[in-house]
Formats: sequence, structure tokens, C-alpha cells
Amino acid sequence: MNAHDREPDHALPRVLPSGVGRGVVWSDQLDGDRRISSSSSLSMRLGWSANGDARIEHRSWTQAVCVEDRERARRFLEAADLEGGEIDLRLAGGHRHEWIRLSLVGKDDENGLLCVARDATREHQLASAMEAWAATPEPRSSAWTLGRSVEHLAHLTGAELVLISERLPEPDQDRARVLAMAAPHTAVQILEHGIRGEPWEDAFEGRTILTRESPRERWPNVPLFQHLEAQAFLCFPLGSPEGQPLGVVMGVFRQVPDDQDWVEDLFRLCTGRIALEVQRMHSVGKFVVPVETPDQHTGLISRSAERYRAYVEGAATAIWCLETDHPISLRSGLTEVANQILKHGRLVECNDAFAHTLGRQTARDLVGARTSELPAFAEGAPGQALRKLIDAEFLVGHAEVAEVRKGAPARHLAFDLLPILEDGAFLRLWATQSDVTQSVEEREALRASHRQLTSIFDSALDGIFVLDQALSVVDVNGAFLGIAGADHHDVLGKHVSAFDAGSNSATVESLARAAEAQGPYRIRVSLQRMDGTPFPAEVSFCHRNDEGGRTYGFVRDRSVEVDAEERDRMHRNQLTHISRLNTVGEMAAGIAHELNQPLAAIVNYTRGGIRHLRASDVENPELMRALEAAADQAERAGDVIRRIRSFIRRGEKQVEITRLNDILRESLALAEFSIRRSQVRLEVDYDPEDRLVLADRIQVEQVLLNLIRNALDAVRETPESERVIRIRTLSQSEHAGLVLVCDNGPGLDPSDVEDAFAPFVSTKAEGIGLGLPISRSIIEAHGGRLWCEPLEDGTTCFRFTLPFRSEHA
Amino acid sequence: MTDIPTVFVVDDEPAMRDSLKFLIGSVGIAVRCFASAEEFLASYDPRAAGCIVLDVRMPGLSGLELHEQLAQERFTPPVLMITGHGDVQMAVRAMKVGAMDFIEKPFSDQVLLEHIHHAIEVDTKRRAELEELVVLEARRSTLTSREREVFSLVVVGKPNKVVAHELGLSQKTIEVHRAHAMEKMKANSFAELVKMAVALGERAPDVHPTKE
Repeated sequence: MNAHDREPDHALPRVLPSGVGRGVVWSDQLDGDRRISSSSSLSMRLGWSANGDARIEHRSWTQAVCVEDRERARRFLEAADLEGGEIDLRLAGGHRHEWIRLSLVGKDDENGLLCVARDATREHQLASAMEAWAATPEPRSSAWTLGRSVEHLAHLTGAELVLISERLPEPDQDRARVLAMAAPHTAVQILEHGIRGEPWEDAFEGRTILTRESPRERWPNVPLFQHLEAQAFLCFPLGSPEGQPLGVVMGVFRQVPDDQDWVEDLFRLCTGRIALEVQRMHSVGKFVVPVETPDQHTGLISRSAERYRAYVEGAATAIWCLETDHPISLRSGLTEVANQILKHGRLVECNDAFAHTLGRQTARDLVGARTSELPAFAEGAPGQALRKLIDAEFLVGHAEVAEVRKGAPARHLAFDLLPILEDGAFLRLWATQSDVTQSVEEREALRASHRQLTSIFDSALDGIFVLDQALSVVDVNGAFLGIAGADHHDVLGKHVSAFDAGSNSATVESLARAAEAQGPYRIRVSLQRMDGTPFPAEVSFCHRNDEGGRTYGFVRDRSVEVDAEERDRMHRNQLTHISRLNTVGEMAAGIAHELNQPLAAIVNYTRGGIRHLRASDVENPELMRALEAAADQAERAGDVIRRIRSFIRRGEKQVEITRLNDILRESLALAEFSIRRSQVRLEVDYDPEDRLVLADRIQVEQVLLNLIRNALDAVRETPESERVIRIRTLSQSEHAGLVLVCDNGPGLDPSDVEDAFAPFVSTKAEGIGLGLPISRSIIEAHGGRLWCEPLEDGTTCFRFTLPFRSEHA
Repeated sequence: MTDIPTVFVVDDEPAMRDSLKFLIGSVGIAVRCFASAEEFLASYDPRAAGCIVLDVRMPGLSGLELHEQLAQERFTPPVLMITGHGDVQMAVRAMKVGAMDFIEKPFSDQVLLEHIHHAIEVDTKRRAELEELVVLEARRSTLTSREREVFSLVVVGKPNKVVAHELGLSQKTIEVHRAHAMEKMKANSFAELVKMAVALGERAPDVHPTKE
């Protein structure tokens, strides 16, 4: 063949662009004599995009071509030279079943020989299918041949189901009978089906019809099609070589086949053989292997028998075959067939592997035994497997049985049963049997782990949702439904943005996407429930690249927490506000008090002076007037102060009946952060009696906070490991409770203790020196007392009392 | 026992102490000053006549606490509380333990001095009552137990006949005991005896009549 005519666009490309269609370029470096220098220098560059998988670039051709074909390839290249030509070669490694057809297109001095190739896999599949037909062991019953042919056809075309059907003779001519069928993933039901109607009749008349319709919808009454997920079926006419219609071969496909011509080619190839068998079946009248074998087949038969023996006897899988003395009609019912097989069957074939399962060394003694004599069939696993299939109304198929053994763990056995039927009657049953205990155990372990994960999923307190690649919800757990306030059907299929409350800086969608790029992370966002109410949530996302790129989200509803935080914050704000007001008020009160004392002294002195003057003999009206004016002015100043103080005092306390321990607990909660930050050990003793007090909670809390803060400041110089603050509440007497706040800081000099309570005196750089005076006035306003008294061990200890609320009050 | 009534001023503020001493002294009343409750207690003599002027707020023992402590004694001199920042609660508490007055600073000299005069009067009167009571108690302690019984019963108004019946004695014997009691108590009349009994807080003893 002239390569230039065939593939003109591929002529002598210097550099083949990568990714070019079905093309292979082999390049052979030539020496000066235009001879192939050596076979090992051949290299190939393969841009194989037919199915998107094979891509070989710049590999030595010896690596690219499978071992068996290398010599042939080398000879082709050496001989081809300028002559041109074609060769089919198998690829190496994982592409062993792919064929390429190589065409020599020319050569040039630089690159050497150039060949273009195309995919020749299908041609070879067809050829091997034909070879397989030729190699089919002869002779076989017609039923066996038909069964093999549909299996073969299903395998080659990728059909879900292939069946051979014929028109029933009168008076049932409007019905069809299934002669054979194969479904690689489905057990076969040997029943008759009324698959008649338009496409079938058309095919029967000789036309090939591909219907883009589900056979389930086309024949809703045919049970066979009901569990097939198929979108197309092909009705192919089955006719005798003379052109007489015999029936229809039907292929059911999950999807409309890409290459319809190819599928039809395969059907055409196979139906020729099928037609011959069907005709033979009709002429003989029943499916019987010819007893008298024609002489010319003797060799074939003996070869086939040898091969069969080698397969069966050498197999690690247990193989056995039961036969009944007489054929049993299937019309008596499948259960009856099974009973007959198990009661009156005879073991006509088995291999050593099967003998071992019965605890025997060799199969020799077993062959010929009655099933009734072998417990394995009466009550053992093989018998159970058969009954299991019968219960499911199948005679052919796969069954798994657990065999319980005394003193040993159960063994799981898998059976594949193939009954040989002829003319609606059972002849024999072939079976393979293998120990699948390990895989069953693995499967069970997987299931257990799945169950475990499922129960974790279902019982988790956090809401869990699973998103597919498009970020639509594919699964959620009960907690999620609870949080979202939704049912499964409300949520499944929803896009994740449906839960976005819309007030976040980034959309939930983009956050979910981020998990893909950044790995798992956790974030606080605002989500919305199904009814649209927003709620604060903490969400963590993680993404897995396998399993179709799922993103997992874990949601915690923070609304309760946030409410508590909000309340806490408000309480704090209130406290700060009151504290500020109090500070201002107390400053005024402090000033008033401080001025009051000297004013009172001035009044006393001047009034006393006046009295002294009066009592003496000295007459001095000028002095008297001045003294009286001084006293009046001082009293006036006193009045001003009194008015200020009564104004301040108007902000009455908000007293309530409460417990000292509760006040302490609340103060500690407020100071928690400061305490933690100060690395101080906190020891708290609560008064077990815990009697009631009448107090303005917030004010007393303020006192406690102030004392705690002072204590924290005091221990700042103490080494971290030794810092201790001890707080106690106790009953001082019958009438009053006592609170102690002690620290092991440097302590106060006894002479400084009272100074600490004087207003505007502070040891702290930033203090205004009102903390303790205010605290003291708060406690005194409550009828208590606040003072400082060191403990015996030298620790500073501030104490205050609060009167208990008398029970009758 | 000191006869001159003295005002005991307890205040931690030196200026207050000094000015109070000056003011009170100006009307000729003796004044003694103390800087703290503790200092006062150290030299406290319940027999000293007069009154106490207490500052409510003091370091250490506060005025209120000092007063509470004093109030536990059999006799407490009148107490005037002075405060720079009195409030209702504090005043109520002070009054409950028997403070005579609660005066807010700054006060007019008039008010303070009136209060002091009044307190000293009350003290003098109470002391006189106390002295009389002490004499009566001494006299009562000289009664025999039978005389004591008869004394207790007759002063609550029971006729001799009833008393005789209750104690299981003859009327004659009761009359003798009664006369002895009158004599020992130095009562000129039965009415005077009853007055004495009231002062002593005498109540009828719980006796059961003896069956004849």
C-alpha cells in the first residue's frame, strides 16, 4: 500500500505534535548506507487519544511492543525499507490487548523510517471472536451452544442482556419463547416471555432495529426487564441461510452503543452460528448431543476431552457435576427439579479439590456416588446453595452459603451453578465451589466498620453534611436535621448556599470550596435554618479527593453559647457603667467627706470661741461678729456638702435577697480571664452554711472584683509557681457573713493599712485611689465593714462582712 | 466614783477631737479625748459619770461596734453618735443598741451641746436610780429565804390569808415575816415596800399551794 495515498496529512512530519489523533511514529536512525543501524535504537512516540488512555512518548520500541511481537516487528522494518506495507502489533504491558496497525509512510535522512499507526484493537477482537468460535469444543448440545453464544455476544458488545427468542408455533404464534439468554451480571430465568410487538416483529421480518427506549417501558409485563437499567435495545433478525425467519436476537444496552456498526457486525457474525443451531434444534426436535459422533470429529473430541480433564482436575476450585438417571421436565417446577437432583442425583464428575472439601484425598471413589449417600448434598453447603437459588426462582447463578462446622468457625462457600437443559428438561448440573471465607470476613469487617461509621454519623452531636463536587447536599445526619429544622427531603440535593445566612464576609460556598484547596479548617459563620432564621454556627470543612470529591461539613449550633456570651457581655457592661457612675459619685462623696471633717472642726472651734468670748469679761463686738460670720459660713459650706451628699445618695441600691457564695461565683466568673492570665493558683472555700444576705449584687460584686484585682496586682512580683490567692466565705457570727480575699504578695506595712482606705491615695501608678474607699463605703452602706488584717503567715487579707438577712424580715 | 460628769470623746480625727474638746469645754463641761475605741476601752470605767461621744467610722473597732460592746454591760453611759456620712441603716443599728442620738457632721454647737446636757442629765438620773437599786438589793439580800418568799408574795397584792395558804403557814407567822421584811428593807409603809419591789423588778415566786 502506498502510504502517501493513505495518510497524506501524516507524510513525513519532522516533529509529531503531541496529542495528535490515532498516530504513531516510529523513527529509526539510519546510518550513511540508509540501513537500520540497530533495532534497539528504534524509538516511538505515541499520541494515542482514541480512548484517552494510551500515551507513550519517546520510548524505545522494544518497550512499547509486547515481547511476542518484537521479532516480527523488527523483521517488518528491516524488510520494508522503501516498499511500504502494514503490520499489526500488540502493545506491551497494560495495553497488551490493544493492537496497532502500523503503516510505513516513508523515510528521511534525518529521522529514518517513519510509520503511522492506527488503532486496530477492534479488528483483532473480531478476529479473536471468530477464532473463539472455531475453537469451541465440539460436539455440544444445541442448548449449550446457544447459551455460550449469547454469553459471548454479551461479553463482546458490552450488552446488559442478550437473548435468543423464537416465535412459538400455533396456536401460540403471537407469543415468543426465549431459547437462551445471557446477562453477565444477572442470573438467568428460564421462562417464556411475551416479548412481542413492533420492534420484535420488524426484526423477525429481517430488519435490524436499534430502539432508544428502555425495554422496561416497552414491555412492562416482562419481569426479565424490570430490574435492568437500560436505555436502548437492539432487535436483530435471526434467519436461516435460505432467508427463512427463525427468530430475533435481542441485545439490551445500558446506553446507546457508541459504535452501532461494530455492535451490529458482532451480532451478524454470531447470529449465523446461532441460526444453524436453532435450525438443528428444530430438525432434531430436541437438544441432544449426537451419540454417534461422525468420524471426522473423533480427533477433535479427544483433544477437547483432554483439555477438559486438564482444566477440571488441575483446578484449585472444587468442580462437580450431578446427573439424574432420567431428564426431569422443567414443567414440574423448579423446586421439584431441585428435590429430584438432590434425592436421586448421581455425582458423575468431580475433581480432587471437591474431594478435599469432603475430607477425602481423591475424587476417584466419589464419582458415581448417589447424592443421597453424600451428606454434603442432603444437608451440606452444596444442597443449601441449590435450594437457595431455587427459592429465588433461579436455577443458574451464584449463591453463597455459610457452612457451620463443629468446633471451628463457620466457612463461607460460593457456588456457581450451571444446569444443562435440553428441550425444557434438566439433564445435569455443573457447579464450581470455592471457599470465600476470607473475602466474606473482609466484607463483614467492612460492613461492621460501615455500621460503626453510620452510627457515629447518626448519633454525633454535631450536625454533619456531605457535599458532592457541585456542593449539593448528598447526605446529612439527624443532628444536622435538628439544627436546620428540616426533614431529609427538604435538605437532600440542596446547594450548600441554601444555608448561607448571607451576613458572612465570605459565602459558605466559597468556604466549602476553600477546604478543597487549603485542607480541613474550622470557622465561625452565620447560617440559616430551613425557615430562614439565622443562627451562629461553628463549621469545619474537610475535603476528600477520592470518592468523587466529597466535602464534609460539621456544624455546631452556637446560638445558646452566643446568647450566654451576650448576657455575660451585657452584665459586664452594666457593671462597668455602674462602676463608673459609682466612681464619680464616690469621688464627690469622698471629697465631701474629706471636707466635712475640717468644716466640722472649724464650726466647733468658732462656736467654742464665741462661747469662750461670751463667758469672759472681754467686750469685743468686732471679734464676736467676725467669729459668728465665720461659723455661719462654715455651716453654710456644710449645708452645701450635705445637699451634694443627699443627691448622691438618691441613687438607691438595688437590693435583693441573695447568697454570698453566688455573688462570689459570679465575680470569679467575671475575673476568670484576669486570673488565668496572671498564672495564679486560686483556692476558693465556700461557706457550707451559705445563708441569705440582702445586698445589691452588682455593687458587692464590684467590691469583690476590686479586691481580687488588688490581690492579682499584689502577687505580680511573686514567682509564678508560688502565686496564690485564697478566697473564702464563712459565717463570722450568727448575724454576719465574712468574705476573705487573701494573697501572698509582698503585703502591706501595718502603718499603711489605713492609708489604703483613704481616698485619693494609691500605690498604683494608674490608680486614682478610690477602689478601696468606694468598696468600703459600699460595704458600709450594706451594714457591713471592710478592713485589712494580715494572716498569721504574713499574707495580706482583706475582709468584709455583710449582715445576714434576718429570717423574719 | 467620780462626781463630775465628763464627756468622753472618741474620734480618730485629731482636729475633731480638739475642736470638740474646745467647744464642749467652753460651756464648762469636763472633756476627755481618745483617738480610738481601743484606747477608750483601755481606760474605761463604767462608774465615771457623763456621756460618750462616738465617731461612727474609725479604724479598728468602729463606733458602732464599740457601742455594741458597751451595751452588753449592766450599765452603759448614754452614747451620742456623730458621723460624717450617716445613713438610715446605720442610724437604725445605732439606735437599736441604745444610742441616745445620732448627729450628722457638721452640726450646730447648739444642737450638740443640748444633746450633751440632756445626756448628762439622763446619766445622772440613771446613776442615782442605780445607786438606790444597789442599796435596795443590799437590803433585800439580808432577808431570810422565808421572809423573801413572803416579801415577794405580799408586794404583788396577795392578802396574808392567801399567802399563808400558799406557803402552808399560819396567818400569824406570815404577819411576823412581813413585819421583819418591812423593817429590814427600811420601808416606812407598805406602799413604800411595793415601790421598792417594783424598782427591784420583783415578781411573785412560782409557789404551789399546799394541800391541807
